[in-house]
Amino acid sequence: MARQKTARVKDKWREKKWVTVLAPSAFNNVPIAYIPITTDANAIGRVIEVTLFDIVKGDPSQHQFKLYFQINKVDGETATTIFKRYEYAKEFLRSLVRRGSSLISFIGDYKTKDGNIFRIKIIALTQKKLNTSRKHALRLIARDVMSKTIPEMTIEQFIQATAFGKINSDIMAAVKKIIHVRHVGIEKSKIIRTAEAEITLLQA
Amino acid sequence: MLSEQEAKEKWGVAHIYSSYNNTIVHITDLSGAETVAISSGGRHVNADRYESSPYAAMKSTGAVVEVAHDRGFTGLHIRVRAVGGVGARVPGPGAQAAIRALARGGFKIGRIDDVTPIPHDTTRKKGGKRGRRV
Repeated sequence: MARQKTARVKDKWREKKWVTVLAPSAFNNVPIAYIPITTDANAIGRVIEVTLFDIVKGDPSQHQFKLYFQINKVDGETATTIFKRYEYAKEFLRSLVRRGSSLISFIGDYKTKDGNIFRIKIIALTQKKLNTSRKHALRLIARDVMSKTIPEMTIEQFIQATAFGKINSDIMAAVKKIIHVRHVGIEKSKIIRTAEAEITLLQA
Repeated sequence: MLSEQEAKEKWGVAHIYSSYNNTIVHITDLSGAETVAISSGGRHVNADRYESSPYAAMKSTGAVVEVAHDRGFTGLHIRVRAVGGVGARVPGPGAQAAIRALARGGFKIGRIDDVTPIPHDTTRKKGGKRGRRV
């Protein structure tokens, strides 16, 4: 009985097809993973975690940013993905937080030009403790900057802006006038609804 | 085409769950959806109290490494996990031994992550107000 069982497991593995998973077009469709699948249908929805460094091979500080891609289509030997999530590595976030300085976070949903909705969490860290009114001011600025810039971006532009820190620097520049901040960044950003899902929801 | 595919490196993820009662080593593909091999400390020792020992972790990792080699994996990312939640936040005694055994098993080691689930707040630890009474 036991012997039969092991033989069957081995066979299953040999039947699997290996596919190359490609990043979305915002990252020039670079291959990010090479994974085994049984059928095309059950591979859809799998999420793959990579660091920013794995994709762009830039400087080592890019290890601190994690990107998650979800498989949406399998086509022969390759699988395409959509951008699912972006976040700071746990260790990196821990290294930022310090005693005697404030951590201000702000969470909001934003829609890009082509109808994808993202939930973005901004964090800012200061040199000294801030009073509440300054924290409020910082959140207002962050909200203004994002609601101005993000609706004008396409999804590709948005992904690049998050991954390469364009949104961060925009907020940083705007905040500089009132508060001295040590770090501003997107701690997390994830897709809430894709454009297609939005359309079907509106039709219903 | 085929030779190019074969030349491609197969990377996997080694999930090491290390508590004070056992160590589970689980190798999957990069998406975490396909299991390559799994083993635990309890499979290799008889006494319950040795399940979490470094020796048991080494043994179970050895078993897993063999299967992963057979299936053509060359590199591994490691995700170490302690109990987390209301339990211990530090990995148990088997974690170190398991990582070491993976590295000695001839794999390339990629990222080593700590993926202990840490709550932003917490549910109440079991045992009640007066604690566990033994």
